[in-house]
Amino acid sequence: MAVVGRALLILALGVALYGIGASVYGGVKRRRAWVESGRRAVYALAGTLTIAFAILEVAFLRSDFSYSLVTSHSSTTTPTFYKATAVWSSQEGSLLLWVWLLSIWSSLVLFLTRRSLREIAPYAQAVLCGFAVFFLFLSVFKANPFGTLASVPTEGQGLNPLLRHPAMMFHPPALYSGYTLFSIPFAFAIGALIANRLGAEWIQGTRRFALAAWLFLGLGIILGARWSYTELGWGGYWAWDPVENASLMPWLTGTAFIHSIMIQEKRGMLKVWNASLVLATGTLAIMGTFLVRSGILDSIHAFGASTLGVPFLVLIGVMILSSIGLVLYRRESLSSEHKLDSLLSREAAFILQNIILVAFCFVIFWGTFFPLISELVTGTKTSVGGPWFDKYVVPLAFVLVALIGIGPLISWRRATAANLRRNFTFPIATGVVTLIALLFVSGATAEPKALAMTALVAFVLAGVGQELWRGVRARQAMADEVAPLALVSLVRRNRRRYGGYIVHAGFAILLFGVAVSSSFEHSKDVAMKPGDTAQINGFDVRYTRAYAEALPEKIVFGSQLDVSKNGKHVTTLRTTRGFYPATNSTTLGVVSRFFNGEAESEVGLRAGFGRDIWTVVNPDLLPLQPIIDQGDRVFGALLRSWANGGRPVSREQLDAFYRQRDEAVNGLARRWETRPWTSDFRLIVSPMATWIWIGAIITIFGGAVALWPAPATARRRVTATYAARLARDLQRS
Amino acid sequence: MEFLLIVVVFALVVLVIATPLRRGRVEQSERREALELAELEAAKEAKYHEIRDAEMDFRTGKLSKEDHRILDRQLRGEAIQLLRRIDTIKPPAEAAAGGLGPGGRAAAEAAARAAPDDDPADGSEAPPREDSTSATMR
Repeated sequence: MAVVGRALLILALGVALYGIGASVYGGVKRRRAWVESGRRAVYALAGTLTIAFAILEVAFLRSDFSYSLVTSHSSTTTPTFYKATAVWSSQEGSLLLWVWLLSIWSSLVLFLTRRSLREIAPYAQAVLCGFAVFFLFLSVFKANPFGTLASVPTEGQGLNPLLRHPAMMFHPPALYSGYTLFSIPFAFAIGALIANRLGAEWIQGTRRFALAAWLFLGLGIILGARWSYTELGWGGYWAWDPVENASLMPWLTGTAFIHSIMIQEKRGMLKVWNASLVLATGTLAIMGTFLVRSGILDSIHAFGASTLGVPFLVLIGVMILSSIGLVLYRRESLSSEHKLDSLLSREAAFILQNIILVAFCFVIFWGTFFPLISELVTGTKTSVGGPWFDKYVVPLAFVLVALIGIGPLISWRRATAANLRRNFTFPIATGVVTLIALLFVSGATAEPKALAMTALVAFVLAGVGQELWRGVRARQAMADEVAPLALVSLVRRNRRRYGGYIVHAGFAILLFGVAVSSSFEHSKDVAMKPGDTAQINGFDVRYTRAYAEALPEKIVFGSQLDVSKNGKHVTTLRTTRGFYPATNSTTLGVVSRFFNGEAESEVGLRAGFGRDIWTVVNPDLLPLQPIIDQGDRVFGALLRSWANGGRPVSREQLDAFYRQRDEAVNGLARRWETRPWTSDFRLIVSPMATWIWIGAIITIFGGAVALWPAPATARRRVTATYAARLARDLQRS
Repeated sequence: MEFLLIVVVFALVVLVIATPLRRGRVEQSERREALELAELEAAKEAKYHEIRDAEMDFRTGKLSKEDHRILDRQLRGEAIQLLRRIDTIKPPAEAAAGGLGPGGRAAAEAAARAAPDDDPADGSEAPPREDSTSATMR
């Protein structure tokens, strides 16, 4: 089926090229049939790529090692769940995933907008097909996922152990969905600029897709952070890694766009800014993909060095130049219809928020690309670390949280002193009371930044709470509903508004978790053997026992620790380090190859609303080394004797050999249990870290509420009498 | 078998993308009016949304009664302008739907669509509001 897969990729490439031609021809000549044919080319692209992707997925699930990709990224011992996710663990497979998702999302969007955006759609279709051509070109000519092996091995090399985490099932598809969905507002913006249709229609048509992109990208980022926290074994969730940064940049500019687009929608303002922002977001999304694939910057998330960097640079160059050129060419059509009425207005708050978000993005961009910039200027690659980012990001985060609180409270156009008093008194009072309470009650004055952030978050939550309360009261006055029902009705009928408020609350909670957990975190590296106890932040951590498992695919060394406080048991933590055999080495010995492949950690975590207690073990294999070497010598001598003997080796001899080898490996594993030695542990007590994930869940829920289409019942209908009466009133006004 | 599968997919793709061309559909150039109408409809929806937002802001205390009255009147005026422009583009029979005449239909639609989200969905008349300044609920 590999031949079919490759043929389908070539067919898809042809279809995408046709889609460009048909769409542009139809757009220029105003021929609907050609435009529709171009749109159907995108549907056909989605169908073709779905079959191609399914062929590759089936090959992984069936462990078909005739595919070189399956051999290098899966094995018969890989659990089925991870066989399914292994498709996108490779450069080739993830490129196919990217273009497949692009075709799926593009088809959905073009289907939903098939009766609108008539003048813009042809060019948007062409741009989307252009992206597909680019990625399919790479898949067909540079990173073919359907490559086959002349000699089919009986076993594959297995999936990278670090990728064996449930989040990996959803993290890449969510991230790529975000990236590909941001291509859609980009494409429609290009279409609107080419067609010179820069009014409300394209904004209305693409707003929902920008929000969907923002939601998926945010979900992808948070899943990646969770993976980092629970799998990578360093104890953190964000390391300012280039690939992490690459995903955050379009999310930040996308956030700015989702807000500033409202100003254009309502007031016809910021047209140049919005067009530039959405074009920049689309370009940054492609740049994120470039960073993962080019290997230009060192990252644990990247695919390593590759030859894909140059094509990506060409694409990014074309996107930047065409964006700038089109915005300049249409600058007259992009002039604002209104001016800012007052600095005390929601518009002004949104504009300031936009500036902060773009500044945030710029800081991250500079820090991410600083190694390249420094290499260009000085000839030496110099990286900037977490403290550098924190220096700039923390003050910006404070202003951002304040604006998150101000936005929902201030009215559009102009806020009077009375309005401000009425809306800000309770939230500000809540923030101040929280600050004072923390200062005098908690005594945590050593971390003023965390205290200030907590007070700001209290301000945000009080503001959102006040908005919900007032909305519920208004709803109750109107419909005579009980409060919970009124709340549901209110949110259901005003999804954009209250979905946005929920996002604000969730994001503030997330930042609260970040601020408190990073400020008050206690971390300690200790060496312990069973029976030893370490202290951290008032907790006694006792290493109670070591245990080991020799599984078909890995050898696991585990440690169990009991955590207590003031003599009372708090929790039991179990942490392991799994060693996978080296699969592609010819120099390692029979036994030592079991300990020289990839390794992964399983952290011991007790998550709670108050604090997380986190640990990871890193067993030192040095005490085992003499025994491993001895095993290599014994088994190596036996293999050499067989090779020099000149007689064929019987099946029974081979079986006995493997049985003895497995017993030796099991014996080594048991030695960890029976004669355990001192091992290194990292212990972390992190207060409020769980609120990061709770905040993220609330944020995503709020985004989904805002994105969800309004119910049919929310479409307002009135009786003719009622409408006529209102009409007469309106006509008089 | 594999070759057959490729041929089938290829044939399906050709069928899908060629259908609009094959239908012999009358090649119509896009009417300028239709495109203008789409733009106006989008602007109208945005204006309705703005009116509803202002109403919600008033109800939740972000706008005073006086400010809301002024803003609401201005927004409704803008909405009616948009509806009048839409009516000049739409076919006269359609524009006159509802028996209110073009202007009346436009205004009625403006009022109806801009009515706050918690209007009764079943079409029954909404109860009178405490605030008598709001044209929406008056």
